[in-house]
Amino acid sequence: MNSEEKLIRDCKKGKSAAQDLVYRKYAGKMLGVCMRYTGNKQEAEDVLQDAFIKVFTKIRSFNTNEKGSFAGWIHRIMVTTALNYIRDNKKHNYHSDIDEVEPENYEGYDQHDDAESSIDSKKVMEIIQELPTGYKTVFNLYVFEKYTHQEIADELGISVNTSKSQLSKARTMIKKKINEYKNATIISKAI
Amino acid sequence: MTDLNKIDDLVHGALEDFHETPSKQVIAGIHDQMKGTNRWLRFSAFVSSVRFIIPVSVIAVLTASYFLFMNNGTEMSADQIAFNNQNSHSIVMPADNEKKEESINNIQHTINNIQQPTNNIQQPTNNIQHSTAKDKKIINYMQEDGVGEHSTENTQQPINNIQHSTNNIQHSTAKDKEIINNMQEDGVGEYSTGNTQQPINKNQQPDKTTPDSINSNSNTELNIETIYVYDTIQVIDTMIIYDTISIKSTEENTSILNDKEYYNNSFFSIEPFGSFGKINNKNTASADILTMMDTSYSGASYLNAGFNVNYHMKNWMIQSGLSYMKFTEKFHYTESILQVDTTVSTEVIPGGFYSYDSTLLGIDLNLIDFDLDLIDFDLDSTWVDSILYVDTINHVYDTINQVYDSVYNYQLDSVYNPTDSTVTTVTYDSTKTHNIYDLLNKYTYLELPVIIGYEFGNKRLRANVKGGFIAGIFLNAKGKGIQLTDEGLLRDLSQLPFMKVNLYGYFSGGVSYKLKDNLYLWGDAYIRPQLNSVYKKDYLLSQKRRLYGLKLGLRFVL
Repeated sequence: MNSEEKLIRDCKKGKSAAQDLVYRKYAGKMLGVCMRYTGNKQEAEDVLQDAFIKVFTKIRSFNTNEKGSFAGWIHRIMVTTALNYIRDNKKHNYHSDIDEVEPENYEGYDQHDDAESSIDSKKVMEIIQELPTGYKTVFNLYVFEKYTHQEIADELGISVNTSKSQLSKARTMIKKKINEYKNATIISKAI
Repeated sequence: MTDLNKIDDLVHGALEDFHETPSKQVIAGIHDQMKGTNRWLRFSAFVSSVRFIIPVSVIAVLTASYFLFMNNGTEMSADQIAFNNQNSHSIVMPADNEKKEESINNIQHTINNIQQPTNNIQQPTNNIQHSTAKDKKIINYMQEDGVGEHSTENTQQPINNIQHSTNNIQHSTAKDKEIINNMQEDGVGEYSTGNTQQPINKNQQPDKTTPDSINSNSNTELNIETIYVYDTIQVIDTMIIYDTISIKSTEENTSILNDKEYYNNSFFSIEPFGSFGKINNKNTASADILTMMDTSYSGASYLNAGFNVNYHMKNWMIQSGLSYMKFTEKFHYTESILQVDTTVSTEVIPGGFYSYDSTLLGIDLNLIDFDLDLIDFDLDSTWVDSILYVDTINHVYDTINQVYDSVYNYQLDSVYNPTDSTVTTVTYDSTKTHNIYDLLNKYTYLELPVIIGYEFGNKRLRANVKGGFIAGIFLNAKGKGIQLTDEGLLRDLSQLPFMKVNLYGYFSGGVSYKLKDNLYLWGDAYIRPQLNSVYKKDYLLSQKRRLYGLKLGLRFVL
């Protein structure tokens, strides 16, 4: 039995020391996941706390042989909890009129793409957090969770077209903010 | 589309491994909310564990066996009743005087029939041992009421058989006495069955030797035959006494008899085989310490030997005694090594600039007297408890000596300079960051149990359930333990603050088996949760042992 299996077994027995270790091992990364879905760190910590309570409460249903990695299982709980949090707080609006769905338009962006790769991850996180809730939810599910538009539509109770629209708008906004950031940096350096 | 993928890839790449340290409130909130759930999880885990299921199964099997055993005894007695009643129904009373002789012959036959079940009585009642005066009263009463005297010669034999049977009865209960009293108050016939249930006037009883005095005109059952039958009824009544004794009887009554035998004595028990089992420790301390404890624990066991004295009151008993308890813990303990290449002494002049060329794994400020604001060290290093890992201090500049070069002023490799400035040389291996100890810790206690129990069963095999408390008086401890005030360094166990008394709850189920008249073999399966901590409250670690195992011993009648 490896150390993680022992850790899981002890968590199933309600040992708080084992729970502490699991928390210490995964909390940092999972807070990053939660922050992508929420507007700020405080909300993310609320989600993180709820999600870890679910992890420790539901851990008896976790079977190492059947459900893949423990980290993946925790990750799924984080995402589900984050989505529930968003629903409960009704801060989003996934639904937009299909007529308003715009074709993806990539024109109008300036040419600082070569600098984008060097952008700080904290800044990227800020940009994601600043997105409207619907945008970032769809973007996260599509980009990070590898959901299809149909799966996103089912998960969020929206249409496939709305999902596509939200993703498009999210990309547009991210691109715009990154370029703004880069421009500001260049100006700052020039000064 | 490529551009879009670029955005996706950019964000994904930037945030895939994004880490952010949560605030302490999060884990505190989780702890708060998990308290109840953890309690339930621990309870569920315990209930589904082997150490719970096995003792409970043993107790369940013993209990089921006991009741099954009792039910079989009752069924056997009921069969006997049916058989006897059937025979009493076989008594048919001819009223015609002309058929007197024939009737007498019939009665003779009937009585002979009765003899058969009466003889059947002998076997079970012979099993009953130890008679008392109460039983003799039954016979006396029968004699006083003339039951035997009114019998015909033909009835003498069965009555004698009954007397013989009842003389064999040893130990009766109050129930038996009640039966006799009822017979005295209500008439014997009421305890008969079938044809014999009609009340009979004793005045109508004929002289046993003068069958001519029988009212030959009687067409009722109260004729001479009836009287003979009445006498016979007495026999049957006696059989019912037998029934009463045997029903409650063949098993239970035996148990009652044995209870008297059993519970008139106190017992002295020894545990020559000791008690043995496993230990679970419930520890509460900081997460770091618990991690260290959990991973370092490789096994624990104990040996317990002593004696007990049991005092019995009916089925209840009180047990106390004295025993010696020795716990043994195998410890694989990993102690962090205080690694210092270069001595950091108080000679470091405050206000100077210093640089460290190694990865700074941790700093004990008590060991380094300097102005943190002026020292350039690596804040991003991983911080590990109790490890000071400094290769070299490069004395760059200080305000007094105005040193600007890179002379290593304090380079004293492998010397550990603790807080009190006493220079201590430590065995140092630059590739080794931890000392690993294989320890065998031993703790001894003198234990005083106060236990109550309930016993049931038959003469040979008895089951019991017990509960109570055990006080373990601390004698000594040998080995090494964690001195938490020194950040996990090992210290001699005698320096740790042990509680003088460990208090345990005690729950057990077991059996005793009679080997000889005054010697029993017994065994208990038990669990002993500790109620207080092994250590005093001011010690950072709270440790409670939970013992479970088997106990075997011999029990002598005192």
